[in-house]
Amino acid sequence: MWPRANLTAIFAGLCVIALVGLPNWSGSAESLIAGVIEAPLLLLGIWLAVRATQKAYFAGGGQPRLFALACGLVALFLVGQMAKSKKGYPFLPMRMYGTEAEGNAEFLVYEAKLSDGSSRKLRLGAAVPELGTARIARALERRLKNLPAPTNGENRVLSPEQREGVSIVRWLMLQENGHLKRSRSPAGQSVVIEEVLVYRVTIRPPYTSAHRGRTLLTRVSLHAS
Amino acid sequence: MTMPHVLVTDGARGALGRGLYEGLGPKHLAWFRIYLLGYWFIEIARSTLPRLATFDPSWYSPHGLWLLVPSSWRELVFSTGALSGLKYATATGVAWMLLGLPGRRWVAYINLFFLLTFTSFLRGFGHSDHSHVQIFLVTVVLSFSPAWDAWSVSKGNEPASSAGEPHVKYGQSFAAMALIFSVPYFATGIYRLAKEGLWIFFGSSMQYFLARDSLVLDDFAFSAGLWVVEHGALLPLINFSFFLVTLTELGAPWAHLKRGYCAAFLLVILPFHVLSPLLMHILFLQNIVVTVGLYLAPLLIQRLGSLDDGRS
Repeated sequence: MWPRANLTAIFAGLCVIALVGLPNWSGSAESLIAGVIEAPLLLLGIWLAVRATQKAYFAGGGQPRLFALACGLVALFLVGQMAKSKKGYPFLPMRMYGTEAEGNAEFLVYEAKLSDGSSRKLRLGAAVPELGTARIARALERRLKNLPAPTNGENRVLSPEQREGVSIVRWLMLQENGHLKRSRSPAGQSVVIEEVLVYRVTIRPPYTSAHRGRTLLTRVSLHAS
Repeated sequence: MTMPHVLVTDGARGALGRGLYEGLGPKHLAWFRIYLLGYWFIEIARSTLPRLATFDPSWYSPHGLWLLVPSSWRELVFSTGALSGLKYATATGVAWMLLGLPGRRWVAYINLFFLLTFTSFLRGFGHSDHSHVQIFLVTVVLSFSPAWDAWSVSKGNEPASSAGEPHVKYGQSFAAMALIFSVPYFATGIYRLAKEGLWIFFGSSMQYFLARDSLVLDDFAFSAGLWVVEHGALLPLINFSFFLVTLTELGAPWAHLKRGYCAAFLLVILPFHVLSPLLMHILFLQNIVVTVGLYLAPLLIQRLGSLDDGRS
């Protein structure tokens, strides 16, 4: 087996190649990352860390089976990282904030119109807190992102997927209204959400409020039309 | 030539160079078991999972274990009774393990199955996030460790039951958990490095992420992220912090080797996890829980010498 110093040197060399952004220079980053940079960097780095852990804690025996279990989980995790499947929980690829963001930022926001005439943001994560906003926002984004802006004030929800997105918004409204009714004011009045306006927000670099604009995509009322 | 003034004493330098889990005993590992499973229990007990029964099953896209379940069976789960059953079965399994009731060696398999079922199910709505990935993998290793040798209704092996070096196994258990916990951090750092190189830390990506996440995510209502975006002069600082976090992610699999490495890891990762809800409305709660239990607590225990495990 190669000495650890050689492996460390190869790992460091690959790190330098990655740091200067060589994969980006080729113009086809994804294939280069997978084939040339990411996989060997991961394998070498993890190998060095596993060996260092083994040397520091497990060299004199003790819990070899527990160490083998941890190594097995590490191996499965690496398979998940390289397979890049988003459905293989708990062995998911970790790619958070890993791609340079440039150009316009586009996303959807949901404005709730209340029965007392006021309006506020629809709280996506409030209905089922453990789902979290991020999960629901992405589910809706996937279904509604291609929704065209309404012409002549008409909503044009076209595909089954978009209709599904609208149904989810309606479900969130019902959940929120249930909560609002339970927490009615001391005077006994309950304010409910009557309508949700879905906007596409676009922010141009450098992403300040002065560079923000929004387009109405659709209006979702409590009852399906 | 005179030697530079030494700021760190030999004793302090020696302490930082020692293994993070050196000398930990059965009570330390038992404490971690109660702490981690206690967190799981609170999260599951507070869960509003049964409310998902009102979701239309057609909105659901299976992940993990649920991919193996036929769709007709999956639809049966969309009832308040079935989801309540899943919630209480998972909570019972966790409580059983936490207390170390008799039969816990077999219950460990059942408990892990329920935890995986529970957390996989949540991923069927929207996208498969990483919130439970690391804590679950740590729990798998914990379940087969000697964490029931103390403070357990049904004891495992007594601390001094085997000849030789009975206490090494507790530190080893911590090390095995830290190894699997740190690998996802490392993979995140490697992906960022391989995909973009240093250039991601020079552009306006962080401004993009701060603006988008602050406006889309509403689990918190802080406006610090948008304030930072409005003040372009802060961009180099934010980019430098992003670089520092990436370096720390790359060093994570070595953080459990020495106390000094662990201290450096904590100096970056804890502020990062604390600041992310303020700036980006994202809370890595499960990672904070594990980081405190696996890194901060052992470091403090070593420093303060608390939780005497009875060895003399």
